[in-house]
Amino acid sequence: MSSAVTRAGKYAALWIGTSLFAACSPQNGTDQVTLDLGDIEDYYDFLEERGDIVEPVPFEPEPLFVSAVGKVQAKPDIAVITAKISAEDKNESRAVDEMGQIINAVQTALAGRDIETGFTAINSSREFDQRCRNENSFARQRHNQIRGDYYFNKRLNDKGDTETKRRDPKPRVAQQVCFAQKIKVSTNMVIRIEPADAAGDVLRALSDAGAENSRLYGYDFANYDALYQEAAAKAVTLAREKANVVARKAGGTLGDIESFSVSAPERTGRFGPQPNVIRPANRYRGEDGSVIDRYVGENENYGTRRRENVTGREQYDEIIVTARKTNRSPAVAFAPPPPPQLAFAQEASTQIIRGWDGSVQEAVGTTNTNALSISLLSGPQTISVTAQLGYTYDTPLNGKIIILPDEG
Amino acid sequence: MGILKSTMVTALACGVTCSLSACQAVDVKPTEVKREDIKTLSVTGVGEVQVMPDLFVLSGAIIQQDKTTREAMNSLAEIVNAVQDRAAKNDDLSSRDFSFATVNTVGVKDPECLLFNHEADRTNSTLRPGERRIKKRVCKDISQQASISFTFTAGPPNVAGDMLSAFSENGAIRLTLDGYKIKNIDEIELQAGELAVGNAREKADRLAAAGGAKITGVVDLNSYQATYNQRTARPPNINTSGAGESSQIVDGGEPVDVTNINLEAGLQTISAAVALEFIYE
Repeated sequence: MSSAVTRAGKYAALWIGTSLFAACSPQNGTDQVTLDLGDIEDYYDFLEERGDIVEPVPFEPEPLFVSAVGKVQAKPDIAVITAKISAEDKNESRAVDEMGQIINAVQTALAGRDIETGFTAINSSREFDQRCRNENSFARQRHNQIRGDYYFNKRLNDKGDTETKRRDPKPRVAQQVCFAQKIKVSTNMVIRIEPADAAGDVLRALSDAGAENSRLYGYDFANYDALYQEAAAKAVTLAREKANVVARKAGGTLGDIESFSVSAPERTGRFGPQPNVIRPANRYRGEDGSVIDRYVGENENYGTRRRENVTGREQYDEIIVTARKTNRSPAVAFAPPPPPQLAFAQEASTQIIRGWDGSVQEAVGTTNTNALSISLLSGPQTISVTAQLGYTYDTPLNGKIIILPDEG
Repeated sequence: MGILKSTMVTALACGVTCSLSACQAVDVKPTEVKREDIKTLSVTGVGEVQVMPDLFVLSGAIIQQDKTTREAMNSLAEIVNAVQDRAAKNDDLSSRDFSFATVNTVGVKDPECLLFNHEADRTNSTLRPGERRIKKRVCKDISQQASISFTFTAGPPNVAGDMLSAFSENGAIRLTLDGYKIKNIDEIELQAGELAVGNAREKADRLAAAGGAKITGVVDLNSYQATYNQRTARPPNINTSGAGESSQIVDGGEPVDVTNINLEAGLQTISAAVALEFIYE
């Protein structure tokens, strides 16, 4: 019955549309199709055969989407501190000696604590006279101006332009040779301390032993993944409860779960910097390549020394920097909608900063080494996970065909 | 025994034949599944393995300048030998491996003269009325430079500080502790990946149960991604043309005795993360 009504309605609409089309369109076009009103039945059959007319679909409501945030509060049990140790001297070995003494003093000061230390980089660099370099920078800038003026005036002369004023010559500035003044040797270190409350004492000890730029990098949880799972389960349960409440209050019944998305954990690696781990080159070819200089272009023997030809980057050893966070979304065919970004509330004087890759890191807003203020920083933090669920639900109209009234 | 064997062979043959005939007889049509009917849950799993590294890698350079190439090479060789000797005599080292990457000799020009010629080129290219062309100088060698860069891979990692001190004490410069090596890194990465996948499955099961669903399978296992970046380790670059390193080397006198540095290498964490796509119902 309802199908017949639908069909009749469509015929009427088609008739009106065709009439309008026939009335408004020019009649002299070669590509034009002219319909006799008596052919509507045939035309409808033609469209149906071609698949242009879709059979009425029984009513099915849009899924009910509910989202919820699951939160777990926990006190961080690990504090991550970074520091720099450096020394400089005209004699590099003396600078290394001075740095070594500070490194040893730092470790002596930290002895007996439940900490994990790592040295992320040790290297030496040359320190140049900055004033000399600045002067050279100015000299290069002046040279560029002189060259610009030179070609400006030359163009005018070549064109025979006598009216435009020439640029006045500027005095030349000579560059100087800037010699290296000192050698600076330095190392960065990272310390993980348990319990986190000891961070203040460690910062003070670092400062006393001669470390520079001591910084409370942030806090970490030994059981982060368990906390994440707890928060995620809470979020999903809460979302489901919401869906149930909505359906029940509206007099409907919740059906199947249609979509499911849970925000990914923010930490997929170790928090904070780590010492570099070197991976052997050519690992996939089963070779253990040596570290060689890119600029050596030939094989030569210097006694027992070895030089090798360089063919590509894979010849180098690779350093793996662990504990880098990624937020790469999975490249899958049927990926659900991306989960909402996590929103962290600022708590316990800890702020969340967003890294260049979009990852969220926790960082402390202060770098001072006042033990009193630092001891206040290790309060509980909240791990939040957002879940979004989509459910079907029953309505009195489910399975029925809805006929829209004709617009005409 | 023979009968048993014969019976088994017959049974096997029958089984294979029956299976083949069944395959031929039944026209199996692929089941059509609409894309929108596939319900998926994406879960990120993480895995960490902590391991003590086996080796450390130091890199550095030795640069010597003297009147003649022979003298420069001799003083270079003296330091190279001393450095290797220190490594060889250190009983704390269980393994030691030098890799000398570059050996170069170059005539060093006076940097002031080279810069003068550079400036002369600049001025002469934009000579203005009233300015005179500047004659370039002939820059002779003021010394000879011999240089070498190296990496030193050795174990155990806790001796890195001592070797750094020893190399510096003997005249090596631009020393860098590049990092640590884990011999079975492939295995460790695999373990971390395995933990990450297990972690993802566990999360998926738990979350699905909380949402009133059940995981029935996995559709995408290809999104495995280890959570580290790679960098290259290389010995320092040494300037081997023109003025060589003459403006870069600080004349700070002979090397001095250097304190042994206590560098404890801690446990390294190798992490892996994997986002898996599960089907649920």
